[in-house]
Amino acid sequence: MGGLLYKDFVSINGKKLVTVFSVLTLLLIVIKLIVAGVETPIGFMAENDNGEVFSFFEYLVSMPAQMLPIMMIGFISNWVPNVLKNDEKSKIHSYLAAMPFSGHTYIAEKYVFIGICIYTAFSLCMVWNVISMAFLPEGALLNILMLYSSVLIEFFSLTFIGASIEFPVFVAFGKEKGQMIKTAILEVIACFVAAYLFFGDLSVFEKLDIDLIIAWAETHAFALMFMAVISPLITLCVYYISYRISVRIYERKEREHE
Amino acid sequence: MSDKKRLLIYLGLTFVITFLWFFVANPDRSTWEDMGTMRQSFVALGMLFPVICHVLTRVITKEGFRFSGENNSYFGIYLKDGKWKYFLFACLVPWLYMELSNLIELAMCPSMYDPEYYISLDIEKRMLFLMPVYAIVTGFVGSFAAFGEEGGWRGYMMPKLLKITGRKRALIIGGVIWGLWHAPLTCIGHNFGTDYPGFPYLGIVCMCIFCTLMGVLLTFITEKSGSVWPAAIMHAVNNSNPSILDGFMNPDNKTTDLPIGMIAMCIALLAVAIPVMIIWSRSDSKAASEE
Repeated sequence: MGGLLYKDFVSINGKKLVTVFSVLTLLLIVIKLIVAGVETPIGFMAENDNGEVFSFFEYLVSMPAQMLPIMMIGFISNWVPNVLKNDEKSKIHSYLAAMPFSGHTYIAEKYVFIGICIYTAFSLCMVWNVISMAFLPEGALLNILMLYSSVLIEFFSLTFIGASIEFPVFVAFGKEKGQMIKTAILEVIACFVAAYLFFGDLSVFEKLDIDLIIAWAETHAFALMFMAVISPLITLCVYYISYRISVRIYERKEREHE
Repeated sequence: MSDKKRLLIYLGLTFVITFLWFFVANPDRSTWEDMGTMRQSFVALGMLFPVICHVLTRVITKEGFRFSGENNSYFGIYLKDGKWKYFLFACLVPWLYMELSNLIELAMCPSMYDPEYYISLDIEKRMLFLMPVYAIVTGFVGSFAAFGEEGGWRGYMMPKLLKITGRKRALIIGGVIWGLWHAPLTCIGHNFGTDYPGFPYLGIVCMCIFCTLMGVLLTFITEKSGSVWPAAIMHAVNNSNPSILDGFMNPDNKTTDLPIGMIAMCIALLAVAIPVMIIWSRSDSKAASEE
């Protein structure tokens, strides 16, 4: 399996990505230390709606940590079809038939690979969050970043569930058709969201307040702790069930191929 | 290049880079308690340097990154041939020795028992009973930080030390090196605070003893599983503090100046490390007789 994992690592330009993100992390640390060490000049202070004043530099430095999870989910969502597509392109079926492992191993490797990618992306997001939060004074910016880091587990649990849905679809229909199905589903969801934005009750969002969410989190500490325990377990179960389904589909396709 | 030279390169890199980090990340020399949780996490990113230095050393010494056999990097994960049980060991054993340590501490100082102490920690009683599972899950999920340490100490240093000096010496030397690496943190009160007799030297000595005992368990599961991941999970679960009894022990009620927490932890770790050493030697002699 190690060889297959390395093949997929190369196919997603893994070495380049590791280098780029390592350099960016180092850069973020250096900028953070510089920003923390100098006093913000007058004119570079920003003010939010609650009248809280904070350094505009600090806000800019915290942006990458806020953007990274979304960026990572975009990457991973793209890698799921790509690791399968690369095999379709290189006619791997005849190659795999000559190798001493079964379809089980082949599909398991894809799941393990994406699992490793999600774990690495989650770890990187945590590191960037920790860097961004350091030296920040109490206030809205720190609260936002803390909220971000507390929902990261749930965020990446959803990524696992997304991959659990995508894998069987791509194994069953291949890259082209699978991509069309995925796009169609996403477009339907986008239509519903747009319809809600045009015709739905938007007053719900007016009541949303970060302090209210934090207060809610404090009063429901047990429920949140229970969720933190149970959500990774449920996610792994869903991921495993998805793997079993993909193996079945793959084996059926192999029989048809023969 | 000899293993000794490679090990020296690794240790040199790890100590210089990490000490530099602890110096840069805490420019105003705040104590651990004063710096607040956000900066504590930032300083604790230094945990990632042992594994970074492992990778750097392998690049410098051109050893490559094998997942098995000689010069194994121990980065792979193996579950077959019963190796999954070391992951289970990694999840459950920290809970066992933490509760045992708390029991010993209570036996040494019964006045510490406070049935309502958890209320002052802003924790509900039912949350306390979920704590071990929570620590295991968060240990698994957030194991990357502990992997940062274990990937270096168990993935590079210990295999080289075991090869150079043999097991008993390697475990002691490895534990002392690991404990000394924590010295900058111990000096700002990370492990034992700053208010104890003999600060910070006694703290550094205590940390070396603690690391040696922990090192026995961590090296055992790394060697047996062929991977640093069980050790990383065990380290992470240990750091998450999976104890229920903690919620019933008020440190303000301590009636002695002795570092009973540290003594209790060492006794608890010894109680686990001795059977592990016996099992380890028996399995070795069994493997030798089979060969």
